[in-house]
Amino acid sequence: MGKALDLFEKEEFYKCLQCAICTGSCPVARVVERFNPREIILRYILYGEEDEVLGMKEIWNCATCHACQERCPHNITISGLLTHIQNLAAKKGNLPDTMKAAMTLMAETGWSIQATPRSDRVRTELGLAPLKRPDTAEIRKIFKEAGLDEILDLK
Amino acid sequence: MADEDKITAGGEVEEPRIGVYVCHCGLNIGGSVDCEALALDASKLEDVVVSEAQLYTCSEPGQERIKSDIEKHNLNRIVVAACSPRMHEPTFRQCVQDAGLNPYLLEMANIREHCSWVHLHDRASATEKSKDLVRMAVSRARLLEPQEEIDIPVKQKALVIGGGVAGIQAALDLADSGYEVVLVEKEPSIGGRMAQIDKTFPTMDCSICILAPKMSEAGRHPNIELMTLTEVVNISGYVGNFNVTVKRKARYVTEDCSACSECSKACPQLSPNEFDIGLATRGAIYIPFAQAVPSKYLIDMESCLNRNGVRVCEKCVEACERKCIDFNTVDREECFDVGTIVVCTGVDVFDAREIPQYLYGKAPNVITSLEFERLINAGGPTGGNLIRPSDGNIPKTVAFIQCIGSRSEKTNPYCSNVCCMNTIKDALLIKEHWPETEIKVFYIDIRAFGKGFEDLFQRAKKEGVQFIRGLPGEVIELKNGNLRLLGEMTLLNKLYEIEAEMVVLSIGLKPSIGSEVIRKFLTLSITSGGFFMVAHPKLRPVDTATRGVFLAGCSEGPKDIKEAVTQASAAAARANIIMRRGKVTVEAITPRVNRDLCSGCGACVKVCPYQAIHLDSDKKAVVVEAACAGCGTCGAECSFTAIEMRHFTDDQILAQIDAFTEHEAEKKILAFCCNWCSYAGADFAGIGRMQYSSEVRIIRTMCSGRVSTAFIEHAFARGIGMVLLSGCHIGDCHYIDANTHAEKRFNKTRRIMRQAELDPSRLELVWVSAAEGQRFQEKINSMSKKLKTIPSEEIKSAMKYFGDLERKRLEKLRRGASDVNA
Repeated sequence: MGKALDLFEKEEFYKCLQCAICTGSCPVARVVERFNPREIILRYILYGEEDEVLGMKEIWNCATCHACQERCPHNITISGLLTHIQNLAAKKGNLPDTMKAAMTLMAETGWSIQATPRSDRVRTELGLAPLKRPDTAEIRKIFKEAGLDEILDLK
Repeated sequence: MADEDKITAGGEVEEPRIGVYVCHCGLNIGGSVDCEALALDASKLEDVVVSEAQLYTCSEPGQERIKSDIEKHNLNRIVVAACSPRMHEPTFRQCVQDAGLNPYLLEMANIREHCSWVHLHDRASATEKSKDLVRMAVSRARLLEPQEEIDIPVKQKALVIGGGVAGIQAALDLADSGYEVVLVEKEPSIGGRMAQIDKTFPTMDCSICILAPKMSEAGRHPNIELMTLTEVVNISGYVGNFNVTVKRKARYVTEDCSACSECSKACPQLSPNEFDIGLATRGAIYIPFAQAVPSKYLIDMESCLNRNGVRVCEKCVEACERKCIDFNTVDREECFDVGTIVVCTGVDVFDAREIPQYLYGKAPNVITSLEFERLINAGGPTGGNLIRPSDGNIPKTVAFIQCIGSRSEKTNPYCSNVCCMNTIKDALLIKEHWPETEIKVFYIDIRAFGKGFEDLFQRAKKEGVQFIRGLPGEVIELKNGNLRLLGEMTLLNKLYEIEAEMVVLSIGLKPSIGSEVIRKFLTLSITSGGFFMVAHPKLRPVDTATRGVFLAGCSEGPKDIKEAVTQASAAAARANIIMRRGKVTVEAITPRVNRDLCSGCGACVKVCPYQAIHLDSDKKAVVVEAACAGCGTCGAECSFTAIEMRHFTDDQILAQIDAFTEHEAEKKILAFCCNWCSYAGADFAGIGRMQYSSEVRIIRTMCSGRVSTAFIEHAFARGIGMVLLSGCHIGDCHYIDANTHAEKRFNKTRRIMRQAELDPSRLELVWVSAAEGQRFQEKINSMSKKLKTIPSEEIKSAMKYFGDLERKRLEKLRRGASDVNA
């Protein structure tokens, strides 16, 4: 069943009745055609189609809003499963470029949105102190602890 | 205490003359145990007069041999070394009884399930173990006493709690059989849920039409005393003799009421009508529904203007021609005795407000299936028009959402059994009246399992009802009162956005609120869903663990009318068996209290699962035979040895321990097994030929609660290697919760061992069900491994420590007894 399930109560997922309340509550499913929490549980857990699911790009569309988990009649940790699938998928190379870029930026600058020279200038005009540069060494340490050095190039 | 001379029923002192019969059971035993050697070994034991091996002891010739030996050799105790007593104890008891011996003078040694079948490849060890088992049996046999089973008279009257269709059916069956029946119902009328629904599935009968004749019959049956607006406030006693106290709530309307309805027309007050689930109103004086039995009005004092005791309004009195309104009525209590009880407390429904996203209670056009019943019912608040509460229009599209409050850890984990069929029926009713209506049923599964159910399901689909797999995640209320349902059609892997003018939530069933009170009085167990538990789910489906108390209808679990009526008749039949006999026989394994030794400490009272032992006015323990199930927990709890458990006495158990600890006790394991679970589990291991190590010797008690710390101490004092306590799983104890006391004693003894710097892991506890043969096998094998590593110093230290402990305890008791006698 894969390492994913080491973190969860295995029995929990087998309780899934495929009732589709999760997909019915999912805001992302409304707009991304192939994103379907119910189907992900069916294929990944119940049918064992791990590789296929880990290769889907749609898994990255999960908004982690937790509506599925909140509404699931059996309190199944669907959101948690999605996160873990994302982690495993990233290790297998299934990581969108945009996300990779954002994470790299964070490792290099400490910011997810980069401050530009213009923002520095506007700050001075407004009488605000310059932005402090975050301690990227600590951020890179945290990333390494989380295992992100397997998918990013952390100098 | 007992010595070896036994008093016969006739009063003469006799010496035990024991006959030992070793059965080959073909090759079942003979194949791995040397039966001849066993018989020879037994013949050398004291008091054994006859000892022989036979091929099939349970067969005609085998039994005849025993009977003729009893006569020829004047035998007064019989030991049969053969299969499990759970197999043939009744057979051999009957056999010795036929020969004129008291049936309690028989002992069996289990050398098949517990020996020959589990040590198939070690004839020498199996034979040695069998010798020990026979010695144990002979030691016990010496101390067996003839027992008389007592008969308790049974009152020829039954109590039925709950007047729904199950209660009505049970009451009618019992009344028709000739018994007096008291039918108690907390509502002002009988009828229950069935009176509220419109049509029944799968026949599409009018529900109240088929129920009303039964209600009427129950109301006028000469053998049925109908007590409505009445609640049970206490039940004590035991099978054959239950003492019941009920509170008859004030109706404020006398028997003369003819239900003319003038009073309610005059009443200025308005309240939600409970029968119509608040969809209609009623006055403070009202009749619950037109077909109510008894057909009498009543006053709801909470809404009456006179509720504070001051007479401010008398409009109903003025309107009443028969002058049958009496504001001076008060609640009163009544007591009566019955022989048997049938519990039919029924169900309440799930409150859909617990699932807020379905907007029940917020959007007016979201209703429950029960409210639907009242709307579509011709006798209901809208004359049978299914109207939208928001604007009174008949909806052109109706959506049903299934499994509301059921099959969910968040609400009720079980399936409520009837909702699928109920929705199918509802859909057909709508189509019947308004064929153009679009109906969609949102489901997870459709359960159409009963007779005629599949046909009804097909009919619904043929009528154009759409079944969509996939419950909505979201329900949105639109400005015009319509509802938009968002979800996924799982069979098409496609999302849906479906608009409906009305949504019906198919709500689940829950155990009725009043049942908790009844549960306490009758010491009933409940299952995880909160419904009452039966004695055995397959073989005793309407009995409870409490003798004389039966279940019927939804009190036992959600079910449809057919199943409820079936159970009700079954319960009535079971109650009839007890009442027809006129007496109940109590198996002679109940306790005897020695009043001289009883200190009145009340420890026994606290542990009895049946409240069958209590202190009398002299502060001495007294046993209620009929309520006692014979678990032995009181006997084990008593530290003054004042309680003797008949047929499972302390001496008999200690003698069995002594018998096999004569030689090489340190190489042996003593296992206590309970009759219902772990002994059966060990039997099951034998039946399955699960092999395990041969060090274990099993002593059977009825319950693990029978095992006292004194037995364990004695075993260690004798130098035993290891001790195993085993019984039913917690929650499954045949005697409700007696096994929790075994656990307490186990923990206590382990603590003592730790404090004495002994090895506490020499004492083990395992819960083994009757199906867990493998669990028993694994436990014995692991204990046997550990056994081999116990150093002899540890054995000796334990012998000394527990020997001293036992000596001190016995000395204290002797002094206490002599104080009493002085």
